[in-house]
Amino acid sequence: MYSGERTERTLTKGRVSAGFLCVLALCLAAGAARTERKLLGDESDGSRAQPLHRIELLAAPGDESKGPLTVDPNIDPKAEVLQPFSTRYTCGMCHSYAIIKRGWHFNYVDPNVDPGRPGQPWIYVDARTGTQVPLSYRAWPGTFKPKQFGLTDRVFTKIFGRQTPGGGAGEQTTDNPDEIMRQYISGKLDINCLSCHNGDPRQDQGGPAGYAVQISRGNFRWAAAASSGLALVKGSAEDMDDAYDPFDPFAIETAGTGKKPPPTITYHKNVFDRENFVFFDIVREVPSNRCYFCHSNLYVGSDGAEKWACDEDVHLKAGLTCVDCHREGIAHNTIRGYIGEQETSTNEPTAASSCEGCHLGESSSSDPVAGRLGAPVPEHRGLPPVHFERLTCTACHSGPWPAAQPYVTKTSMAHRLGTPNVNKASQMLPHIASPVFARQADGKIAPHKLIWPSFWGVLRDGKVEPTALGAVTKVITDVLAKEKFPSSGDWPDLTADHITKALTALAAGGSLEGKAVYVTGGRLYSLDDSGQLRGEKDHPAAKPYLWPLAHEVRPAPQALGIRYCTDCHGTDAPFFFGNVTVDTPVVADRQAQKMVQFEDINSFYAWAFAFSFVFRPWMKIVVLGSSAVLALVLLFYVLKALGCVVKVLAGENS
Amino acid sequence: MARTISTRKRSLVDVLRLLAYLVALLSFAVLAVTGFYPVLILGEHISGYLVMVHATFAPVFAVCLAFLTVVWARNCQFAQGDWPWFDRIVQRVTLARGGDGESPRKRSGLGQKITFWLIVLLALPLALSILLSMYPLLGTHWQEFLLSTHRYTAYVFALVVIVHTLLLRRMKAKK
Repeated sequence: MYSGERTERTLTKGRVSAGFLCVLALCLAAGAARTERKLLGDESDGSRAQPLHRIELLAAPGDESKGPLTVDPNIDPKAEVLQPFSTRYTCGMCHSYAIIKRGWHFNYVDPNVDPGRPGQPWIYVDARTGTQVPLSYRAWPGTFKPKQFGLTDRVFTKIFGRQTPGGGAGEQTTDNPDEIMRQYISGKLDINCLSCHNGDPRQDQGGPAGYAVQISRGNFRWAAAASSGLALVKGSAEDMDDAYDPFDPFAIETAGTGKKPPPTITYHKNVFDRENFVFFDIVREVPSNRCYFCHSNLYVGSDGAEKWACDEDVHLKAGLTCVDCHREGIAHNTIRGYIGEQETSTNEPTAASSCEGCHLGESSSSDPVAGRLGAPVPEHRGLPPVHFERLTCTACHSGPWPAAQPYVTKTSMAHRLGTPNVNKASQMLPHIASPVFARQADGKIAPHKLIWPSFWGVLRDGKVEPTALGAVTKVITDVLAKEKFPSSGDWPDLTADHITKALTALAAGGSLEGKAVYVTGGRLYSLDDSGQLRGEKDHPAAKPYLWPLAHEVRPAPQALGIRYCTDCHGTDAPFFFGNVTVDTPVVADRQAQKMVQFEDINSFYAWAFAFSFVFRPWMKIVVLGSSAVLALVLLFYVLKALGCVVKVLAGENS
Repeated sequence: MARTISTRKRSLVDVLRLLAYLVALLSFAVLAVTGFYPVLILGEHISGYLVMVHATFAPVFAVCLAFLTVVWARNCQFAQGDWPWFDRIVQRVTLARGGDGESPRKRSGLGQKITFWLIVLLALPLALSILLSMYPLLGTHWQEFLLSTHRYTAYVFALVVIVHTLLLRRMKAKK
């Protein structure tokens, strides 16, 4: 009894405390909401007209605690340093930067953001060490965190920032002592609003002095201005030593006398008007051409590998743009457009922006919404409805028409398409294959892009931890020093002997806690106790990484199954029996796997089912013939019965 | 001699009839199991090996049914005495003289005849619904309608077949 009373009192106390905490949390949240005051450009007044952007340029201060600097082209260069404008401060005057940076293109560094359906990873490639790994800050199963390979945010940005709109890893404050000064010199890579929203044709993302090049030179602070078409940036922050101060005119003058010039900006003439204001041709709806810089695909070997010979996505040709489906507001919470996204997205039109959302209409909606943007409502004549349960729309409609072997596929993000000095050889790493028809997490089969990871690591407690790239490069480069590396950027031809030597060298380093391993082509290579090389097939760490492809949508008359069921249900149809090559530098392992293996379908069953279609026309004839006989007999006796009835009604005694 | 040949011919037809009936029964059992098990027991659509078996036995059953219809149809014609109540109504309406009433022996095949003609009648939507869905003629909505037609016709068809078989067995037993 006494104990019960005490428990009750404790519970009451707990409830009071919890209630107090809830009220406090609500007050804090309300206070926080009040502090996030809306800026001029955060909310539309309803006008569909493009607002004029004639604005003052603001630059980031050297000390972040201070306010922004106004860019004045008429300063005395000996007394002050002409700074590149910062989009964070210039655009941030009217658009809440803090809200925008939570958008899909920038929030990948936040572990609390739902990763959603697996997407395209960044792929780190080094043919000299036999490395090809899918990287992502997002928790997509099968990808690795850049940190696992020893890539800091700064290094990651320097390698991959070229095809990002800035932000994310590029504006993380480093706590690495080796990088603090480098970040001071380079600056942070702010979100580059102009990457997407600049309507000026001079916007230069991939030119010789454009955005991508500036990032590779470590000129993060200068990248947005250099690509805007308003200024020219020369020099490289990467070439400057740690003592260099980009805000000190004397340091710049001194560095300018050396062989490696410091990063400097020169604004073009007539950019500034009399009041030192600048006109920006800002577009609210991003043109597709801007998206293409980071989101182009090239299917090597398909009929339409060349742009002029290749049809674009049917939606673009119908007059839509990327942002008609991939919509977002000021929160930049881009709609990705897959089924089920609405469960995690706060973006209102998410459900209505998938294939089904536009073409069939959102089932939960009370109003008719099918046929949005003029989308035809599909008839799917003769297609058994079970296909809609087993396949995504993209399975039949997206990507190139499947061939006996998936195409070698190049993407902007993986092969830095559209940037200077790209290796145009078809075999250039990384090796992405598509379309690979594979089963998704929701159980449906969809076309995917696929990459086989290859990396060096350590096996500990059955799990493989990648070895830092720096450590690997030192050891493996020595082992493969005498090997020839193809100029095409393809893999070197590795043998078991190479791997044995490399694993021995890695183990001899002594810094590894565990067993040195090499993961490649779906196998895990390690040395046994006697020093013999053994390859373990189907190790979880060696699984390929697949991400769905959805674009290059073909028109209905080019959808799979348009000719006959055997487009897919043929005994040699690529949909089930295409050969997916296992990509690896190890020559002996370059074999192929059938597509059915990625679809989790029994190979014999798929073949038997396909084989049954050989007899399908006969079956139709037999059933149709039998039905005709039944109908005739029925008709004959019905007529006969009718005759009897007529006779009876006529008074004849039958 | 002619009589001998005639007898031999009749027996061949009888054998064929019996064979067709047995094959039809077997096919029906396979079709019912493969068709109803996934839908009624597992709550799924028919798929996998079951659909392959189902599609293999369907034409066999169709052929047997067509054959049996041809050979049984004459015997299953409705005769005047199959429904005396109808005969009486007709007599009252037409003031015609009727026959002397049917003996119980003749009336015993009525249920069998009705189920026979029901089988023939139901077999048509059953076969044609699935056959139509295999041609690129109708869109998704109609495809679903055809599948529903196939499914619900199959339920009724199966019941009628079972009743017909039971009646046939009862009649054989009586004989």
